[in-house]
Amino acid sequence: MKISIMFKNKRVRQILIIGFWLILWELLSRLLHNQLILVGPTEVLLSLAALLPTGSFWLSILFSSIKIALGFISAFLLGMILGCLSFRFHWLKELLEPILLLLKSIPVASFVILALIMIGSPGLSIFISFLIVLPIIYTNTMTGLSNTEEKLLEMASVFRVSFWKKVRFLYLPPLKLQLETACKTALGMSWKSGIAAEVIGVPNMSIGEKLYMAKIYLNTPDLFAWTIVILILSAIFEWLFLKLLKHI
Amino acid sequence: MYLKLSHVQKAYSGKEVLKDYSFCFSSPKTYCIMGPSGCGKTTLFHLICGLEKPDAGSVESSPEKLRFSVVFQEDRLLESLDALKNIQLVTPKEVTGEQILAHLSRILPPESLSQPLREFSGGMKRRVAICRALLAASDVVLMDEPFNGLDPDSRDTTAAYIRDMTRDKIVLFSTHQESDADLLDATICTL
Repeated sequence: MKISIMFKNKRVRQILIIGFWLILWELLSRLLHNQLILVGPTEVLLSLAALLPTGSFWLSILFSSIKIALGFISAFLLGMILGCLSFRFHWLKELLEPILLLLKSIPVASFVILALIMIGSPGLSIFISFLIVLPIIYTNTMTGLSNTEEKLLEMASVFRVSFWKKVRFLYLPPLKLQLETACKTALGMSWKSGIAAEVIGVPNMSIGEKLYMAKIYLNTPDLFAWTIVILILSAIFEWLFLKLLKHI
Repeated sequence: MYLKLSHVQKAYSGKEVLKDYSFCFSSPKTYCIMGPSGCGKTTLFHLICGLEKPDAGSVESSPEKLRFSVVFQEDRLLESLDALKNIQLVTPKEVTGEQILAHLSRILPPESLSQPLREFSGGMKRRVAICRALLAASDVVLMDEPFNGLDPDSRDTTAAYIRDMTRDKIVLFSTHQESDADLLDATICTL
């Protein structure tokens, strides 16, 4: 009886589910008994605890976060501006279409190698997360704007509602709704692509460099620990940015 | 001030809705547009306020640029905002929030004024749409079935409010009930 009541509580259920997978992970790692292939959650936590007091751990997090955030924010702003302009001017939409199709279709690895030759490794993750996020924000800005109710726009035109009031009350609500969903995808993608770029470019003091080193030295516990750090950072960024977006 | 329609025609996908319609509406007067469903009442309003263009004929006015306000068939309000904000969207800056609230309280229960519109009944939304059209700066007021969804009591209160607010304007409204024309002392025009 008590267990069934506990299971009805969503939070308790979530904790139990996470606990189940952690135990399964631990059991599997013990069964394989090979730290190179699969380390258990205990070893990962120990490895993470060992990383925490080191200066390079925090510096790597700081530099990678700044670069990826820069790439994301600049792509978000430019994507929104271009999306709005393309919604207004059809010729611009047609002009940008081939470039955006190219950005969506080319594999991230090709971009990374090209960018590495062109701009070098220090700014690589900025550039790559920018390229990945730009088409997502651009497309969703146009979708959000086209979701504005035609009948409300007609009402606004009859009553001669000012441009800024139209933007604030008619265009912004559906745009915000669309961008909130898009940002969840885009933020995750910016972290994945940014870190992937760092692993290939190996810039100094970056999470990618640490992952690369873990690979070279076959240090699987460190690899797992850094992966957890990336997941946490990505979640923090998503939470922060969506909170900011809600206040606009 | 007048609004003159000459030989106006409008068709949708080959189906003629308005055929060679001519009339001159002049101020200050209220006109009740009557006719069966699908006879072109809504189309006529859309042609007058410029939302649609006639296939043939012309819509002229004196002065040339008249200001319109409309009570649409479907209210067209922003459900996430309250009644006051919906009206402030279309009113000039000189009309204060207090003035708007005073107008709203003439046709709506005062306790409802702070609620978002999504919590309003159909009849209450209709009254907000009417108040919005009457407070916006306009020379011509077009109302597409304004009394839809109103009970007899609120119909009388709203009619009195409309009469009070449109004394110097051209008012056109559509309805299926002849009694509505009496409520607004209107001249009946059949489509």
